[in-house]
Amino acid sequence: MQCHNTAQAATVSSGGSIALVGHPNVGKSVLFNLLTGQHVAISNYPGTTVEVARGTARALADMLLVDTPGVVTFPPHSEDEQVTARVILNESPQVILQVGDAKNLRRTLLLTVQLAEMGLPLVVALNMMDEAMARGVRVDDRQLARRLNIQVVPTTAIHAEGVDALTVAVRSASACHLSIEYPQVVEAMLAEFERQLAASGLANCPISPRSLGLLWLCSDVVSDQWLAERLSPGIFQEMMGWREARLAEIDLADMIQHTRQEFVDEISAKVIVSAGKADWGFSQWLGHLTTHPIWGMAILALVLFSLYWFVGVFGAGTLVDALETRLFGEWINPWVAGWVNHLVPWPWAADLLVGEYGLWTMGMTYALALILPIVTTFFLAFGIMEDSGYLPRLAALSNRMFQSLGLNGKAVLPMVLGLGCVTMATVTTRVMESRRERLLVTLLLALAVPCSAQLGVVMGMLAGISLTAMLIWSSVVLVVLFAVGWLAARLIPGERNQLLVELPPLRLPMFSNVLTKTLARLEWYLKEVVPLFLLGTLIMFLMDKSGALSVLIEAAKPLVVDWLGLPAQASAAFFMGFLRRDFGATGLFVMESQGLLSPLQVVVAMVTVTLFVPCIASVMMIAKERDWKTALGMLALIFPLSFVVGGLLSRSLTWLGWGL
Amino acid sequence: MILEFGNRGKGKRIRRRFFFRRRRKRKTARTEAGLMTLADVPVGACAWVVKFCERIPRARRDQLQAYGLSPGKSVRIEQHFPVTIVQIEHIEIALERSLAEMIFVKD
Repeated sequence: MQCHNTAQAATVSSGGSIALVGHPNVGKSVLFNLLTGQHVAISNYPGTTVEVARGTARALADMLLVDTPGVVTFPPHSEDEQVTARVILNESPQVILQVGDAKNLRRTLLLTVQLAEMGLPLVVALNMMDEAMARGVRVDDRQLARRLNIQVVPTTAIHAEGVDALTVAVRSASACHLSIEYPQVVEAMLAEFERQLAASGLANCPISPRSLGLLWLCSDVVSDQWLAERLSPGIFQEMMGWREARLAEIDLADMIQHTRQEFVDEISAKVIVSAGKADWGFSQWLGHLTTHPIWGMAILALVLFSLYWFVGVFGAGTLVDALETRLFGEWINPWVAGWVNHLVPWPWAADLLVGEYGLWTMGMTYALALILPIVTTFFLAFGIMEDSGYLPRLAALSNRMFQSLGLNGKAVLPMVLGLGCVTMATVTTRVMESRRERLLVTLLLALAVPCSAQLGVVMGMLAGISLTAMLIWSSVVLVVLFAVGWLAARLIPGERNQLLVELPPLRLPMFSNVLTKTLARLEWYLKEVVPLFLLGTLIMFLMDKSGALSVLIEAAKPLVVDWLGLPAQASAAFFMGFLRRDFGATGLFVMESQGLLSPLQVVVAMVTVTLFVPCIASVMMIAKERDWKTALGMLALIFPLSFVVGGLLSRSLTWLGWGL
Repeated sequence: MILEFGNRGKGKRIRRRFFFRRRRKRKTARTEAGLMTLADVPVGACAWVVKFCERIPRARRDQLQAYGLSPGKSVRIEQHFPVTIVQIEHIEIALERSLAEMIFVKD
């Protein structure tokens, strides 16, 4: 095996970008925040739901720093990893800054060699040196830099150590041409690929043609797409056919990775001075405690309860109450309404702004007074869990429960958060690996997970009747949840992903890092989600004004009276539930306090309203995260299902003679 | 003592009888001559990865290798319940039992 390097001088100038690349949990975002400070914008990468953060690095001639999603495998498999490949291929970064885990050098280098092959200036930050030292791992970084002919800088980002040296290295980074020699068959194919590329006038691609060829030979979709956009369809088809024919005979990806692995093993053997010890004290002890069959479960219960308390009770209860009822209800809204009515002469326009379904009184109040506090508490809690390394442990512990639902433990986060706010939980379905899993979790959230606003009213009403009422409600909802999940898992095509997660060492989260992340995510919320609320409000306003709403309420009356056995007024309450889930439950609460509902009717109404379509904001979010077809499909499934279950429950309880 | 991690394999036999009665039978049929699976290695012991079962999807296999769990590498088993946790160098990964049963190892 051979490797030859040639360094070319390339100076960093302003106006270019730096791609920050690395495995998950190696301190990428901490380093990103150190280099960029407060000027950070998080947005979805075009055409995906993957978050990419961008910021200006002041110490680096104001170059744009792009924080790409963490990669586990490269060539990429997941959507996240593909975004990283796309940033490199489509945005032509001037420098690649790889953040690597110093204590797991082999793994870091497997990515390094692939980045070095790309021919762009490459700087490697060997991060988390403190953890490596604590475990007795020692790496000869100078020798490593010499062998790969790249810049290697040891850093400890959480203590801001080595950052100055890193900026110096990035400024003087030069293009590296690492070239590993692959088996003959791969080399022949690479030569043919490069010839074809040159013949098509694509010799000047953003990364070296050889590395593009290596990606393409590993059946990577990002390079497929890149080539499809640039080559003539005939040539592209011919090349694809040629690759498939070879792939039928040999596993090229395996062969290429194997060669890289051997190359990395050879280098690691020389530069790892001491491999360290396997046991390393308190952090490991605590880590094991969190996955212990008994203590782990106790910690899990405590964490979930704290999460629910912070987001569901403190955020959705205390804060919402203070903002919505007090600040907006008593101060801002009457004041705004007064001014609008005074200034706007047309009644319909005033109605559009401050009426019952007004853009301000409903849309903005909803977005700022109701959802904003929930989202803020949620993002804070999420940031802490993300940075502490507890998130994957949560998935590992709850995996068993989700197996029967065709999911794996990673679904626990959206499901628990759904109890706080279904709309925001729908966003977190992004943690799931496949489209199929995201769809399944979204469906279960929309159908059977009541949000904290609704849960409060439902619990209050049922507790007023009896414990049996509460048990009937919860068991029916749980049975529906598991039955639908079980069925959907078998009907939606695709395989279940078996759980496989890395358990990073537990760390104390850095408050400033959590705060920066939270602020950037809140900015995203205000820019991207608030318009959805306004759109939803506009739709409700138009339905109300055109009379469509009252027609729907009238049309649903026979269903409510004859099938569910509820009074006619309940029909309006169900439709209010679409506006805001708790409104529906509150409408029924008022009816109960007027003595209009028997215990049986309360239980039936609560079950139906829980299963009934989620609020308009979450429907909008489903449409945004998935697509409109999915959102409407879910509505078409959930609406009849909730009524069927409600009607059947009503009949069974009547037959049993319960609560008449 | 629940807090002593050195003995984390102790209650295992009882728990296994509870939770994996059905699975154990199925697994014996799957084991190949002379090899055992990652799920059979006792807690605290080390094993060499030999090969992957063909039924592991490509993406999963690449992911396992990316974590360093590839043929020829040594892993240490940390626990089996509620999930299998293994350590490779300084990386800890958690994997589902059914996945651990598809990875062949030797002592």
